[in-house]
Amino acid sequence: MPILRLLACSGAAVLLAAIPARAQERPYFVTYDHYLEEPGNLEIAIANTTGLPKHGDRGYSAPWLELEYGITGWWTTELYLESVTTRGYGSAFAGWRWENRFRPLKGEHRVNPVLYVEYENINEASRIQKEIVGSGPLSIEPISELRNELAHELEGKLILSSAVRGWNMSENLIFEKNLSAEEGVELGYSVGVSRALGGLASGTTCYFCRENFVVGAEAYGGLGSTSERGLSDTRHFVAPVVAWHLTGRSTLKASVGFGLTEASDRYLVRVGWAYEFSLRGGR
Amino acid sequence: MIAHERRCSIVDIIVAVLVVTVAPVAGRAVAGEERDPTWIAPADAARRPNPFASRPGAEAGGEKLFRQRCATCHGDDGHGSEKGPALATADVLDQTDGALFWKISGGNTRGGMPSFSFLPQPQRWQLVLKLRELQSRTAR
Repeated sequence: MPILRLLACSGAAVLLAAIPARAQERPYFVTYDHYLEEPGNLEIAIANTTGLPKHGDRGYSAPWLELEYGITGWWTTELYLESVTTRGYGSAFAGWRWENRFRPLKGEHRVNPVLYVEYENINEASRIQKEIVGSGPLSIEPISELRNELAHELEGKLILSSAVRGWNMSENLIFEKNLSAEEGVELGYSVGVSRALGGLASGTTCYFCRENFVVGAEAYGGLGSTSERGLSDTRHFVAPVVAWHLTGRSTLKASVGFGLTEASDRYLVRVGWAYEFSLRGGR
Repeated sequence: MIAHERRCSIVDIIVAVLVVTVAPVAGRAVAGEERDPTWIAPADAARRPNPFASRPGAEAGGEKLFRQRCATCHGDDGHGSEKGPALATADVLDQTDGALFWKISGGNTRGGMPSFSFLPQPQRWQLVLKLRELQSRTAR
């Protein structure tokens, strides 16, 4: 308990000392674009994935906490803590993830590559579905069983992203290796397109004006694995997304994913809220 | 996908990598203070005129955007901070509208300047208008 109290006090101190910074949260939940966190800025986000499966399987809700920090202009690091609640089966902590994104090129190009490396220490109860890889539907066993099945996974992504005439277009290719089991490398993809709605910004503060909204769509799914070639039994979703910059510091975003294959859940409903502030220097 | 054993060695390696790599970089990563002499807009980008230069009211939007997007690092009045260099200086404001637009759009990841190409183009031009307003204020 003293450790928890220490963490809570440290967190409160950080928030009090922080300087609000403008959020530039991407509208996507799964797809990454080439915009990294500003150096010295910390973004705290809470989000949730609600899954509505087919065939009367149990629905679930998977909240997660995200701490994203800009170390330099070319390096952003992020920590995730996730949990899950399944109807009738109770709740469980599903593990943590640590991701790093690196932008190797200095300026803006026609296509901007970003390299992504993530380590996951999760269990089979994980349902946030920040990425979908491999094949097969989600396990339907009780959480009490799934939480004991640990998975240490290493994930890599090649992120390609472009800004074209006001549109963002992003493509992610995903590779995931479970270090805890003898299986191949699982593959996945995600693509997204989005656009800020505003043109010229107004001179006054407004909440519901077009300039505060970004809309788009993303599609994501599994591509089998190196040991199981083919797309049979893979899960795929297409999801419209919307982000609303509530204030200069915070962004609310939402999406409804529609399952496209038999193995996919019927819907994935996602909501998230992010708050960003500067921890270093600044005004 | 299943494992019942704990592999603490992986966690140990991650923590070690974090301590060895993140801490020193984070300590000296206030990168925005220095100019990057190699950060020069291409000639064709530098020649672009500001299409909103004479649009009534556009500057007010630029003022708001500057407060939201730029002031955290460059200060409310553009005089810079620990996190970002001053903008109200001759070497910045002597640049053309097109060059400033190019730099705002693309950023400079090595120098700590983020890319703002996610903003609609008119809003990036509004930021250039705000920089010009800083220039006239500095001249006074």
